[in-house]
Amino acid sequence: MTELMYYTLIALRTPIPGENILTELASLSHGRLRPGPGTLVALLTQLEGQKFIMLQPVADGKGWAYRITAEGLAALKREYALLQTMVRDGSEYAARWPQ
Amino acid sequence: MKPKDMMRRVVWFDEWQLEQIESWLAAMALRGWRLERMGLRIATFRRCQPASLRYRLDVNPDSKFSRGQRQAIYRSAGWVYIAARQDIMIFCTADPAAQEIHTDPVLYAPVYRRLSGFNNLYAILYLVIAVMMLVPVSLDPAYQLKQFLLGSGIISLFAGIMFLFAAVRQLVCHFQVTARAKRMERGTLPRHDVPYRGALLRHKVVNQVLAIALGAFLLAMVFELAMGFTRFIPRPIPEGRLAVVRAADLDDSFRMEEGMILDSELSYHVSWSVLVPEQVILAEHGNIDRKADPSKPGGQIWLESEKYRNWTPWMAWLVAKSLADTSQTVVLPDAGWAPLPRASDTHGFDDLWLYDNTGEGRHELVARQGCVVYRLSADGPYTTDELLAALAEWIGEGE
Repeated sequence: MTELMYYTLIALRTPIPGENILTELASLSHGRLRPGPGTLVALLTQLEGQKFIMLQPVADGKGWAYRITAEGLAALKREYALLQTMVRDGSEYAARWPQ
Repeated sequence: MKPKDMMRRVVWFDEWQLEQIESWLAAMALRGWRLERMGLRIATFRRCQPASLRYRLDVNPDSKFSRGQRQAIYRSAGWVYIAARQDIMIFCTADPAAQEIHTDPVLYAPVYRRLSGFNNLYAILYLVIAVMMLVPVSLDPAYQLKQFLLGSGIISLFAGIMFLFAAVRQLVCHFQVTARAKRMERGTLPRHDVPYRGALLRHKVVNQVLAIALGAFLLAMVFELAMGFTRFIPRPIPEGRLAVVRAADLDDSFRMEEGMILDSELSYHVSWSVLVPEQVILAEHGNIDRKADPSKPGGQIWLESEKYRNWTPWMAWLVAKSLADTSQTVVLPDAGWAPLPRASDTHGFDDLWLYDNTGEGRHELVARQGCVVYRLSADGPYTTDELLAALAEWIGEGE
């Protein structure tokens, strides 16, 4: 899972209209992630194909919002667990990394 | 006079030259013309204040995203939708800080490859048409060449070459798109600030040459279709022992059969061609009895006179050679026919093919003088000199 994919799945933990996703990504990553809109559309297309996200109508009926699916949430949790393992394994040697 | 507010310009670039088109649109914006809409080959601009704008031509992904959803996401990043052109949407921004539309080349590569999808289809289609038009010209060059030069084959050749050129252009597009997509897959995004003037000039020249060639082709086609039974023969077939029937004398009672006009006694060979100055070549076939000659009972000169006038001596030679090669006079022992042999002594003609079946039998000769080709056949006990004398007499009557 790429960094952008990871943050996008986190961003879609609650339904969010498409035009707000870029802002949410920048907020979650503290300004570090600034993908282009075309890249975001390509990624959303890929995630939708993998059934990690879905489109649903917003509550007031005007427009659509994206949100994570159960499969997407499971994949996100697996990725989070993997990242935690990697950080834990790496931290054993962090003090001894060559400068 | 108030300057006009709208302007149309031809989009000279190929479909795969997205970056060049972007640079061109940006240059137009700097000169005070903002893109309004873009068709297949025509872009419409509206006058505006000169501005530094960035244009991006974005290939449509094969996704369930509606245009509205996609435009909303792009708008949130500062990119405004301008126009659509086939499988491409055009966006624009005046904000120099706006993030580029594509920041991940690996994600963009499969989308970009869609540009070449239709090109392959068009390339195959154009190639098939080109082969269908060009192959008949080459299958039997000795015989087909005569038919080709004197008939409407020139149109097939021209159209075949045009379609071949179109197929090559589509293939170039496919290879360019594939090469760029591979670079993207290796992590390289395409550059956007590329020069466009060189490509613009090249395409202008090539497309204008093609347009002129297409115009000439259409003109030739109209000219070819308009020919046929016209009322004009600039150099009439000579009077004399041969009864001459001109196109103006023909009426509906004559029957057409494979280029021949038939009536009860005589047949007239008719053909017409773009390449021959006369619009109708009317030659006469008939059996003519020679003057009674007690020394040669039963002999007769059979003047199957066919006269071809061509633009150049070289084309006349081609026609004459073709007639000589396809003659069915020289019968081979194991069936079949041999071409007429070339005569070592041309008897004053530029070229001469002669079969002198000395004594009885059939004789035939094909002679070229300048741009004119003559063919004469005879049955009976005639010598070469007598055949040539008959031909010279017939030619002399026409001068």
